[in-house]
Amino acid sequence: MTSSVQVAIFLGIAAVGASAHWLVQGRPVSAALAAEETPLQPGEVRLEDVPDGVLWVDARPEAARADGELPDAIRLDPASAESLDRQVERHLEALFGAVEIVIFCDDARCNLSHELAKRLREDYGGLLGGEVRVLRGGAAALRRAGRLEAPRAPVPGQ
Amino acid sequence: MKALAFWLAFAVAAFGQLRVAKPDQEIHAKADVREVEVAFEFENAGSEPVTIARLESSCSCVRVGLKDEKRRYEPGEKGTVEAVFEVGNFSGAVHKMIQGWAEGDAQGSPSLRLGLTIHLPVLVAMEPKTLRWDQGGKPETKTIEIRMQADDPIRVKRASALNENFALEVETVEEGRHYRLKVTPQSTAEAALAVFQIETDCRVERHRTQRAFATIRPAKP
Repeated sequence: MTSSVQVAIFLGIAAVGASAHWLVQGRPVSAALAAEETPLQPGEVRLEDVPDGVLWVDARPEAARADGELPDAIRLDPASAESLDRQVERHLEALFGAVEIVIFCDDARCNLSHELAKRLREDYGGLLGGEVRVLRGGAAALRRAGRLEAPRAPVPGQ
Repeated sequence: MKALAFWLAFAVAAFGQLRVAKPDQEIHAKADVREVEVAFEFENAGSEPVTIARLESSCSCVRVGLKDEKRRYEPGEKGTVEAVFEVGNFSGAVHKMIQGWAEGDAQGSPSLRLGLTIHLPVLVAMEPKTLRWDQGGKPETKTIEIRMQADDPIRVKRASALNENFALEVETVEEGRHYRLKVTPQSTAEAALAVFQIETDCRVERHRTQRAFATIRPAKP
């Protein structure tokens, strides 16, 4: 068997394998979307299961919010130089009165929202009005659902 | 047949070529740092050149890049992934992941998987951070333990509350090491929220002023 025939056989096997994978698994998806399809971790919730009236918490840094904001979401940025205490104090009434709190960051690969949820439960649990959960898929899920709006002008003190 | 074996070997060698000296690193940061820099050294242990196409971290608080922005590595050549973690208001143990894809890597199979654990000192530990009374319940005194976890002593200078319904008393258990903040509501008849500000003489500004919280709310069924 000549080497060129051997190469052709090898490439043919690879092409068949790749095509079969595509047929079975579907079109390759982005890493972020792929991460959304894994089973929910404890404390996570999918957008379609979030009830009305929750307090939304945006855990994204300032630069990420240029992509769009969720109306009425409060901002708690665990990566900000401002202490979390001061940020919580600013939103005390909202956190105290919330029936349920849902935190989101960029997408399913971002773990800032999980870290913030942990800190809120551990340090401020007695302050919060309701359960704290993390949105699976983050802002990316909200964007696909058409929930994000153009960024609003900053409010002094926020 | 030899050529077939050669091409198969080539296909295998194109993956898993990057060998990282320490893929998981643990850093104990100083209390006053704003950024923590970490370097992950790697080597192209394969027989073919590797070009790193993309680096990503699990947090926008970690900036990642390649030293000298060098992307292509010949066999045997060494390189460094440089990561800079912005401390922000994080405290305690923080875990972050970094992934790197070489050209040809599938989305789910990055050539580089790096782990970073940063220990940020908590100089002033308050336990609990939030006090709670049931509305209509007994307005008993409750206590927040304040323990200093620095080498040098840190003293509580004053504690204050804007909400006049709460009386505060600072008790010194051990000067510079251990204090108790005793909080007594005048009344629990109404639901209430309070913020207590605790000023210390900590030399690190971001730890100097601490806050604690209190709530009076209806008892849970």
